[in-house]
Amino acid sequence: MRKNYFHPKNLDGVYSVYQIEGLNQDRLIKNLKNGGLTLYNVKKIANHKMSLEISVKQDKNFFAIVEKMCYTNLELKPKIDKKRKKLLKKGVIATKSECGYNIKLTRVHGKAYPLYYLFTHVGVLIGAIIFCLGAYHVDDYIFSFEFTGSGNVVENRVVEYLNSVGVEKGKRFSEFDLNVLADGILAENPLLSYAGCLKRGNKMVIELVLAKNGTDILDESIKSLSSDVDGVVKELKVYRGTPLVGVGDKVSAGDLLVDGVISHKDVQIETNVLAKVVVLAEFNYTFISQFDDRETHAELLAIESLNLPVEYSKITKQPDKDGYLYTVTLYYNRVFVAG
Amino acid sequence: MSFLESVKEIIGLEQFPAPVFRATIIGDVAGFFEGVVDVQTWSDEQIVIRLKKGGFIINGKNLYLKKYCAGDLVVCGKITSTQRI
Repeated sequence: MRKNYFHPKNLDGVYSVYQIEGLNQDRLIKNLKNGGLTLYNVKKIANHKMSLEISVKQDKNFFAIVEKMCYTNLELKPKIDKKRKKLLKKGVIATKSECGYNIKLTRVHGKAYPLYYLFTHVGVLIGAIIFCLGAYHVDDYIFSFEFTGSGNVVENRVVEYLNSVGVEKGKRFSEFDLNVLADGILAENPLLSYAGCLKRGNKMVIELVLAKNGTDILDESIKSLSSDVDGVVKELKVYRGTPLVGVGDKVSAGDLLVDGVISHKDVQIETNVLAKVVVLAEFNYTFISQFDDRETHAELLAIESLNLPVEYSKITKQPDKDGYLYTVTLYYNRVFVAG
Repeated sequence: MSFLESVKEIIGLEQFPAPVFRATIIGDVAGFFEGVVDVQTWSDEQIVIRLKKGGFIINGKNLYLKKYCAGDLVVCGKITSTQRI
């Protein structure tokens, strides 16, 4: 029969440590040596008790010899040999009471033991492979973005650009060239002097540096910022001017959001406004239909009519004399920027 | 020429056949024996080995057989004395 060189039992540098309890240990040593075994670290532990190490390559020979010698009660902790267990049941191997010997496998060790363990525990090997493949596969997905550097004030513009080229959460890093992406960000934003994209785990880190000389023209003529829609203030950034509303406040069309008058120690100074306010605005659309299942149609029509990115929507349906009245309320971000 | 062969030449043993056994004691920590026929008795304090010609008694503390195969034996532990028998 051809020898299986890839069998774990043929690995060099792996040793089984056996604890043997019984009389006439000198004879056992002699027989093992005469049987061609190489014995390592043969030590007396106690009276009639010793331990010895054998290369796993010679395990079969060892058991063949000890079985021949009527060595008996085999306790193979890591893995009980089924064949030997059967022999024990059949009585081919004598029991402890008959011969008075115990052979116990206490441990397996050696330089090549990790490899041996993986080969003898195929489940662990498969699990490790699946884990590595899974980690490699999952590592390619974008889970989040991080904006760093002085240019992160133009984060929204960069996000818009990234969305326009299809870079979103859940997409794969391998679908994009990060250098090309960085060049694109830089080209789209004249306010930036440097843009760099990095992969840090599952996070895309975008480093942005503001240009010292921007190409946008600063409009210093805006003395106040007013809302032209009804809604709720979602975001408020005021760099110059006095904010008249806070985040979460309800505003109506025409309400003043930021005033260009600054009060300082009873002195009022009029200045231009430099601010950004995002208002979550409402858009209502009414649709009449004879059918009672036209919610999707109504929503689609309303979104198309608004022609802006919608945050979320609400649809109500009421019976009407002509059929059904669908009222679609769309919520979208209205951004006011001054400066 | 190895050191051992040089020694053999000096003491005039080169014309004799190869020795049937050889014993090397390394300090008091190990002993290497070639041409071992059998380990007659062994314990923590004494190991009696039978060679192709005669034998050896190794006395010491915490003695154990470090490696034993095909006529070669390495004994480790604290060797206090050896005796040719």
